Amino acid sequence: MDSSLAWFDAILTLTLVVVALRVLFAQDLFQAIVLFIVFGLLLSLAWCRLGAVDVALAEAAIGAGLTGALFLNTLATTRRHGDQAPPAETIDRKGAWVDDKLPTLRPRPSTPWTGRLAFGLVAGSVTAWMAAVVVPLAVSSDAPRIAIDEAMLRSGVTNPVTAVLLNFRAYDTLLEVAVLMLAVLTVSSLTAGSARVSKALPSGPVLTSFVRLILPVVVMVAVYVLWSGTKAPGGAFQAAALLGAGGVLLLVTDTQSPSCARYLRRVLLVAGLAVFLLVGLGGMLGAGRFLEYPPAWAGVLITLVETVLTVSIALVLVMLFVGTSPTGAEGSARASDETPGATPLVSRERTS
Amino acid sequence: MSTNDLVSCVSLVLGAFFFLAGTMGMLRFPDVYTRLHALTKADNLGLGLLVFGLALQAESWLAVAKLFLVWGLVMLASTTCCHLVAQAAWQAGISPWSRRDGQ
Repeated sequence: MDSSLAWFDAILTLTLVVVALRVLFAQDLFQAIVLFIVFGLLLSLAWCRLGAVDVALAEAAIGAGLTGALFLNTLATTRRHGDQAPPAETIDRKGAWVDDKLPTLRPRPSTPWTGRLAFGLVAGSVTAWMAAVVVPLAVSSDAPRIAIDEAMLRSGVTNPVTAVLLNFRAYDTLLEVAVLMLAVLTVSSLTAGSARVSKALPSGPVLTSFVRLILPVVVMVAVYVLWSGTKAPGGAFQAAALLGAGGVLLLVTDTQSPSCARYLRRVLLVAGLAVFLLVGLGGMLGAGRFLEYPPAWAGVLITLVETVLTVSIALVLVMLFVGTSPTGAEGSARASDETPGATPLVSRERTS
Repeated sequence: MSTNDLVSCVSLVLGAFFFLAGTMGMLRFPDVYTRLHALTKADNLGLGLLVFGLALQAESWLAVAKLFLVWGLVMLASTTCCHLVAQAAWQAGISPWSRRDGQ
């Protein structure tokens, strides 16, 4: 049993490395994104094997799912379809004509070998340095475990990951949320509120029924993941990723899009950070230190912060998706992405 | 080996066979529609047989229910995805492969 699991782990690790290399060396950017999504799913499987179910959930939902969607959006916006030139009749984003005579967009400019060597040396030494820092940490000692077990009793939750994220290292999480907020503000200001998601997917009874069936399940699972986060793997980020994915699904399909007044959207967007800050300041007044909860209230406060954070982060993820969505003639972008003209897919795939 | 284990084994091996066949179909079939056909067989029948085989080994009815829930959700998602890919391919003007086209 153990040896077969070891084989599984070995194959999984090898596959991860191979897929990572394929992502880096893919000639076509679309292919690279698809491989990146595959890489994320395999990585979440690896996290499962390491027993880090929280990280696995986050990786599958955010790393593979939403990041993949953001990448696809970006690709459709920038129109760099690998080494393929766009078809002659395409109008680009600024309305200029793009024709075949323009130089072909290449996925990456060729770097001189000295530059590559320098990059390799820097990356290699950083990796070696990190290994030198991390490997001695693996020396088995019970001291950290005992300290954590002791602190867990005062943390207000029973899931160690949630305790670390929202109690012991709440400061890090607060700053993470602030970074997310900054990102969405930047995207919104760049698109100047004009971003609009096109109904990119072909509409039809199949997709509409699917969305109708799956959305209640998504919401239910998100609430469950949020609620169970205090005692089992789960929590605000995973729940938010699920809700965000549901929102994205609603946006790209032909169903009724959720509408929400602008001020309400803004309030919900900042609510997570605001409540987190308020709770932190409250801790300052009560317990004397920023983000320190009184042990009796810790569980309630953590659940409160997580609940509001879930809504805010879900909104952040949806707005990032909206903000990076291609505007203009996106329908043709998607079509040209697949095949120009009526050539059978097989001939194109064999050559690329 | 009890009958339960035997049925479970046969079901798991059959499920794995469908996944193998689906993968080979995706690699070897001539166009996007036939490849989708091969892939959905792996998702529907292959996963169904795996779930059935695992359910026989499950320790509680709750685990059995969860396994079949996973199967149902995957079937929903994969059917919809297959439909979307096929529809996008059709709208992009890809005509289905037929023997007349040759290699």
